[in-house]
Amino acid sequence: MWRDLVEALLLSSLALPPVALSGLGLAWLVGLPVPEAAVTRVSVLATGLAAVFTGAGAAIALWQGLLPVEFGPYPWFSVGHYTFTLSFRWDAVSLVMALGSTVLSGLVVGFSVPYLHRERGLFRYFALMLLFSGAMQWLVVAGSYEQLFLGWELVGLTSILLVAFFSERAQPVHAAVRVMIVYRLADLGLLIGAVVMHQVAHGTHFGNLHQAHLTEGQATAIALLLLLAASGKAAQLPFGTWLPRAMEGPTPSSAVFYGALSVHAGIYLLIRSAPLFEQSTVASVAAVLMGGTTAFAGALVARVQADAKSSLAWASMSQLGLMVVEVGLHLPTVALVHLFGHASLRGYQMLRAPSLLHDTIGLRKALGVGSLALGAHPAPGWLYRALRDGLFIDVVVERYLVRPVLSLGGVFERVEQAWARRVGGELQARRPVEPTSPEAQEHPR
Amino acid sequence: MASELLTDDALRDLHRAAHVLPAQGPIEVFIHHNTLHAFQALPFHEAVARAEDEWGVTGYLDEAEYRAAYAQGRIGPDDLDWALLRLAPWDAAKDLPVDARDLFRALLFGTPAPMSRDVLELLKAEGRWATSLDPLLDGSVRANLIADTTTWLDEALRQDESLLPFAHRLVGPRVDLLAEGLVKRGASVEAAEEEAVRRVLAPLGLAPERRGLVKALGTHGEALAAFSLWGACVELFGGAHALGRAPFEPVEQKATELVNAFLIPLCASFVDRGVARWTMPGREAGFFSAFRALYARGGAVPAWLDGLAATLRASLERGATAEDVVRALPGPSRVETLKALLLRLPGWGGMFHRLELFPVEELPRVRLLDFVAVRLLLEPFARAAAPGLVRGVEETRPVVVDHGVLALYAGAQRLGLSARVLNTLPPPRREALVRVARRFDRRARAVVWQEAYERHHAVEVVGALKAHAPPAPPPHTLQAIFCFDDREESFRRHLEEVLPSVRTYGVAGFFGVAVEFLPFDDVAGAALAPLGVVPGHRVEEAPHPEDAQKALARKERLGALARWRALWRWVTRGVAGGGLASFVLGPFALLELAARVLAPRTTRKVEDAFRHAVLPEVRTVLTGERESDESRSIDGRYLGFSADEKAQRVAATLENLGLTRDFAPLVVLVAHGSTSVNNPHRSAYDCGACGGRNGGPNARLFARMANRPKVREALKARGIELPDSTWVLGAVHDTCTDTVTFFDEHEVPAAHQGAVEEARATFAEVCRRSAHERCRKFAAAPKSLTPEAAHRHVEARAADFGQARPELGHATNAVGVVGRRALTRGLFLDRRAFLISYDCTADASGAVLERLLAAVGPVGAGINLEYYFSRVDNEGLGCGTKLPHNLTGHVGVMNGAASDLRTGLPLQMIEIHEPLRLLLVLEAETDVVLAAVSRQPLVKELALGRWVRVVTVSPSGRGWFCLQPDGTFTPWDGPDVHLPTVRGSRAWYEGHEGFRPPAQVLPERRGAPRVA
Repeated sequence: MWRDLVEALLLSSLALPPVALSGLGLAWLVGLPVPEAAVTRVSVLATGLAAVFTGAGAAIALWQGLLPVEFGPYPWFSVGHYTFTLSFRWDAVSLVMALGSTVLSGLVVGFSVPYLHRERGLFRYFALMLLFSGAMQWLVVAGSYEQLFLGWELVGLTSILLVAFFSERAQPVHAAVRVMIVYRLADLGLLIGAVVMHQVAHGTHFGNLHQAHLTEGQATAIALLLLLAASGKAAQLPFGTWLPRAMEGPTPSSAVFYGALSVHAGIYLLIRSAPLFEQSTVASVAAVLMGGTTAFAGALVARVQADAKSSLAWASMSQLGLMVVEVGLHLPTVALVHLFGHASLRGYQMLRAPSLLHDTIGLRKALGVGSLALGAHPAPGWLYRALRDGLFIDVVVERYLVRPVLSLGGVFERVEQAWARRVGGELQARRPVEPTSPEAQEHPR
Repeated sequence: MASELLTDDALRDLHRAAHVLPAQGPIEVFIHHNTLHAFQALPFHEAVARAEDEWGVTGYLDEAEYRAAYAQGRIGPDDLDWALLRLAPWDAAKDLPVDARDLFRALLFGTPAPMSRDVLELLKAEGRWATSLDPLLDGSVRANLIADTTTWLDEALRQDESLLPFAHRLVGPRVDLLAEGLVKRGASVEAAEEEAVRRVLAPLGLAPERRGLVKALGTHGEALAAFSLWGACVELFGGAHALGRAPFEPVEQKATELVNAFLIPLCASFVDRGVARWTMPGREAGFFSAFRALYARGGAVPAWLDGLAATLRASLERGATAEDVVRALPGPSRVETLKALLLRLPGWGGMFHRLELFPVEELPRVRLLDFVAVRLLLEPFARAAAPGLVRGVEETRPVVVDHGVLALYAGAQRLGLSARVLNTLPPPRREALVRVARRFDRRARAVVWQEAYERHHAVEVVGALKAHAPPAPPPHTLQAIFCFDDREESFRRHLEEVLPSVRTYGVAGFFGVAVEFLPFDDVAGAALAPLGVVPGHRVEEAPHPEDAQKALARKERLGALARWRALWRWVTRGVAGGGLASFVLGPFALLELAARVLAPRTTRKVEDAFRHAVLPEVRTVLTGERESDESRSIDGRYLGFSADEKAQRVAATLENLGLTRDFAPLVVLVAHGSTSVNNPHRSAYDCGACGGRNGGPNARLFARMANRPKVREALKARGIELPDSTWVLGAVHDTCTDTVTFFDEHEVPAAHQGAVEEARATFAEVCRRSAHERCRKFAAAPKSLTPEAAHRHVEARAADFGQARPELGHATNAVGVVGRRALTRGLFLDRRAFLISYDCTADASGAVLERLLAAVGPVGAGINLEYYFSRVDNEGLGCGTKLPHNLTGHVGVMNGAASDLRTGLPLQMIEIHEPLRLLLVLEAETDVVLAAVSRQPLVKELALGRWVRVVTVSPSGRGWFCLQPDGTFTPWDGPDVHLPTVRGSRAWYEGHEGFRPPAQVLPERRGAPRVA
């Protein structure tokens, strides 16, 4: 009986944001008026109730000692005689994460109601926030890697679209494209990792991860692939420099994605995969190295950032790095608590980023000093130069990775063209636009 | 600097070019000023034209917005005619085939928004351009247009075997050109003709086939009428090339992007006043040197900057200075080059310029010259690399289609001029049409719209003032002096409604006490004075001797708290510290976040209670009277005022107010400030007359001065009898939370305590009513609220850290009235009016008026014009939406991670503003006004340049006059308006969201709830 109640609560919490989104989307699609008040109320209600239901479900499950509860499998689709199933798993890890993510999304949506008031992109913003909050929950309670992948992709998609929220300017769009490229690369890791696991372990359910009999080599391969996936999402070096550039959307979306939740999805993936890391020394060492480097680099670079949001972004990277280290050291529980605390703290700090000036003025007064600098001091030239330029990571990646790849692409393109010309004879490249009006004809563009 | 300027051409040129830069300083103090201050010496419309051309901004609303205002009745037909008569290009309107006024009106209402050539081509290609007539067209006009065109086209179809004449009537000789072109490419004449006709007809979805076309005359009449009319208009303007085509340089744009992306973070680091923990080394040597030192040392750079280190090292060895770099620019074009250079990042350039002129403590040496020199060093690299980086970039900058064609096409439809008419007009008449369409361009039309808009407003306000005849109020029991701020208009009105025996006054909110004030819990003082007034005195706040112990405790606790917070700020950004903070503070952060989002007002109350419990309240005293002239404080200011100086200031302000006798037992001075959270633009809500700060200390100081027996003695000598039975009380009004706080209550003599208590209750009621009236303009506030609920609503706004509009500031300000309160008492002015008290009967010489205008004019005009320009071009002259703002270096905000510094007001502050120049109504004789205006150069510039619209009302009953740009007065020519009468403001505004016209508000009937 209790189990049914828990199932109902948790599944409705999972269903609420997407249902709200579909409702709003349908209304918009059929041309019903969707006034601001309707959009905000529905969004607040859906995300708020999701948090309440998750909280209630979690409380009952704990009280009745039901953990871990797994609902499903529900058949999803079949290929040949193989049937993909959906299952939802609430264990201690996913419950903490689900509670954290629903509560934080709900609060940020609440924050956004006055903040986004009368904004042109209001509908789009709340639609994306609903999609995000649903996707994040899906990702958290997914029973298997491929199911998680769906939420993972949607979180990435909403992240990209919110970075490009002010698409009338070029810079947000450039930043969004950059985020997208990193995400695409990193997502390969998750996709291939899931496929490999399917092949070697005959299933990717988290519940069976402990019992999966993998060789150390297999575990290493899969764990490294997942580490690649996590390093993109959780902004680990050398991929992480997209994070400070992603601060282009409205403040609350930056807070929920890059302070609170989205970036932590990468860590969550690693926590979920902790058994794999326990089986692989190589992957654990890799995690510690990558996370450790990011932790120190991020904290150092944060010290020279002169704007509120970049400073917080680099600081976030640093803590995310530390969490990767914790996973590498086989301390997933520590990483989980760390994640929860950091998501709350950093999310709040990002929402408060516009306060920095008046906070500083308050501090200056109370400390009885005349200057806003509050102990800021010059760094040695060489160090400052390196930190100022983000430890040259961007430059190096651009020079030694992006440009060579691009020029190689150029070479291939020329070769192919030459080849095509030889095969196809005189194939003239046509102008794509045919003049349709006398004016255009007269003045070819 | 002046001598340098004389001797160095390069510096002089830079100084000249710098006027393209915005003049906003660090955002911590936001002082409203005329955004177009650089052009203020010119008349308004000329200045706007210059700014539009030089800065690439827009100085008027979009036409669509003017038309919307017309549709809502904010501009009337009469107003438009009035403006047309004065401002339309009548001299160009000779030989017109239609009535000139009709043509002007057709152009005003018909012309579509500016369109880029790309969009036009796209619409054409999709057959969506010129294939239907204006949907708003009158039915008979439409029918005539269609009938006329189809008859004319039918003629062409019947006349000839070939379809060429038909196509000719549709697009003119261009069809011949098209055919010729095809022949040149090797087509036969017949084939070419058929192909040409086919292409001409393609956008209409018609085939070059006679029978089909005859049928189409019936079915496609509208499309043919529109299409042929467009063709005729294009022809009138000289063919397709007249549509406009500007060269676009993607390479140039790419180069600018490269430099900007590299330069912005560097600028941010250089002017950082304390966001970063580690600052740029070598800053004290200036930006140019610091940059050179950093980048001469090698290290990776983006590919386009290869060779930068070598160049910088060479420059270092040569000992080149920033001056040398700028001097190297060719002299004759230097100013223009520098302007173009500065306009690539005007916000950052402006901040360097500003910090050079007004240095701040944290930044020792900021020079615009350095900024320019660094940019000049980087540009060649970017220019060399850009061509290689521009790959397949299509045109992205819109090429604007010649507005004349669009205008004429739209106008001709409204006037019922078909293609036939246009094609058969005699040449002089055609030319006249083209001439008018060209001359009456976007800007000329905008001027007409703007003047009509302002005319409508002037008629409404002056009409109301003329009709207003308030009943005499009962004998006074309280006098209250406010800042002339538009937000206090409603407060004063409600106060008079609640307590009819009150007299209210308006004055610049520093109350004539310009002072450098050092609060007790600060170590840095701030100038509390209007822009341009440098305080000669400094006053320090110190704990009351009896509270010395408490003060010490308070300071210690505050300091300890702050040390923790300062520590945590950096700890949370570190590795181990950040981890620790996540574990320890994370859960608390979540709780705090939840509390602030779910219950902002309660959270604020809890916070206040906590502060109150931890930090003891300390009574304070201010620097005592200065006895001798010897004591000057460190920065060259007198410490404290002497008794004589005090009397002088008190007297001046009271004289300005016309308040020199008949004092009530209690006189309250109400300064103002505003509380909000999470808001970098917070200071923009504070008192403009106090330099963008809270004016509380000024009111307090004034009250203390006026209560000194010695000062009262001195006042008596000046003919101001401030009796012992009168007590002066300082107070401050929080315009966001609508609360009034009294100062120095412990000093109130027992005899006056009753009056103070009564005043407190009265003000509390007024606060609730004021909050209630304000709520009607908040779209997010519930539609029906009790005054108590409204007050809770505004308190919640001030405490809500997600609130992008804690209050609406000066939005909708449009009027200034300088005169006796009898002119405006009981007049509902909708929080749109600066009200300045002035008694012309006691100022025959006009000296007081001059003083007032000098102090109030620039402040009021500055506020009004900043709102105007931020409203008409929020991206170009304001700072856009707050949502992506990112506080940078404690100097300003950027959009997102890196952008130009954004100056001006955010969208959230100006969205409901009506951009109207200030209508300044002066109650004085015209000759007095003219003399006062002419003696003050700044006021003269503003008044004669029409940056403010000056109207005078003669106290001797000779009527109302408008000040003209040539310094003459013309009698007010507006119609009389009916002024409705209501009981209580609430009855007039309740249930209305938009603008409410003026009304005469009588006090509510007895029995209505008064003081709660």
